[in-house]
Amino acid sequence: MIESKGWILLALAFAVLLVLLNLSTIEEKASTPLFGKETEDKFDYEMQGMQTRQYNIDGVLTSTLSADKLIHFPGKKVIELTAPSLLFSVSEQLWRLNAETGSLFELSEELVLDKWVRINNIVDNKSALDGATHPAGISIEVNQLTFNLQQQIASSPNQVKISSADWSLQGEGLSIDVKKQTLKILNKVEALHENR
Amino acid sequence: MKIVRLLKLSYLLSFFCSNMTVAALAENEDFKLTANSTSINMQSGLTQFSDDVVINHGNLKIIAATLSQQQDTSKKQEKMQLTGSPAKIQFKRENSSLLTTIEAENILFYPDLGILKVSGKSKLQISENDQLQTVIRATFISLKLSTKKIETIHAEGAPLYYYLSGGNGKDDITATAEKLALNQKTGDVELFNASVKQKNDEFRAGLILVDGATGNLSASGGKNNVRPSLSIELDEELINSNKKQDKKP
Repeated sequence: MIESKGWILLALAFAVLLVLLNLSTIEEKASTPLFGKETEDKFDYEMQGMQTRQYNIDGVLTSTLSADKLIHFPGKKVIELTAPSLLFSVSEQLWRLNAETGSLFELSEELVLDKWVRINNIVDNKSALDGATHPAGISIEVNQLTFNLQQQIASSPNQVKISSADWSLQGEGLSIDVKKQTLKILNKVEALHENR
Repeated sequence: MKIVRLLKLSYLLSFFCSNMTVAALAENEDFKLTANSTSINMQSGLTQFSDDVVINHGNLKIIAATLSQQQDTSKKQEKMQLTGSPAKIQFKRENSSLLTTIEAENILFYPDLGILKVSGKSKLQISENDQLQTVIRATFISLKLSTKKIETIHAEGAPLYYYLSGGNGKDDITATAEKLALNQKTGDVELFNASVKQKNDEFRAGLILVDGATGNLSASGGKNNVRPSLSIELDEELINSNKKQDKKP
């Protein structure tokens, strides 16, 4: 009887040992941190149909930035824009910048505009800042444009087309240095003038 | 602030409004330019196309290593420069079989003034139906143009070389000179401190004038009259044959 109890105790001790051994081979899952990835990807504010207006010192409207949607991600420090549109007036000329999507990276101070990026010179209709506009004059089309706000350099490795009423200039790769006021098309340049 | 930085882009864009005047050559016809790269500097007003620049515009063709366009806003004047080894301009006059080819290391064009200045191993060639009419090789050639037509040509060289096809039974003319002035309308050619050869005859003078209408040559001592008015070396064979004819009873 004593012998059988001994066997039972031995069997129990063996079983406990096996369980402990098994546990040590299981990867330990890290506990979810309080400010983990899930929390970081969350946005702190979102705007729909947003529009901001900027006025100069004389109270004249100089630019209007609008987007279908704006979402700010504080963890990634990114502002995601859907259908951003910037209307601005310089030297009595009105310009409109459009893209399907845009991301403003707060750390690198880079604005990345994606999908059918267009910069148009619009007929001189100042009221267009508030309402509908009709593109005319010069326009730049590129699939993607990265604008480094710190260095003030806009660049794209993609196909670019710059056109006016009867002119078009296209090529591969675009670099615009705002400080040096230079625009470069880096490859396969083709300029066309058509009489219409 | 970020938006303000973005707005500065538009300064570049507005530049295009005034900088598409490469079309100075392209008034009524389609114009196509290809190049490997282009750079536009709004501050200096300089536009440059680089590497394998080819322009096709109607009857005009330009091949060059670089094409630069400079806008001098103070003088309201525009300057275009072609460089190459050599840069080449080829144009054909409308309703004409005349083909003009200009080759040089450096070609400057002032569209507002209609002046084309060519330097560095310069060559101008005019041909009609693949037959050479005129050839000028010089260190510097200047052309006055009006609506795709050459009005006058001035050339300088040390010396320059000039060739004029005779035509109408006349013999070809070849010449070396220090300077040349050609009036394309009249066809008159002035050759300064020149040596002109026609068949086996050779003329040397301070100024030799080739009459565009008749093809006749006349000569003078030139402005400073530093040379004898005319020195002629006639063809000896022709002289001897004339002498034999004179001796015949």
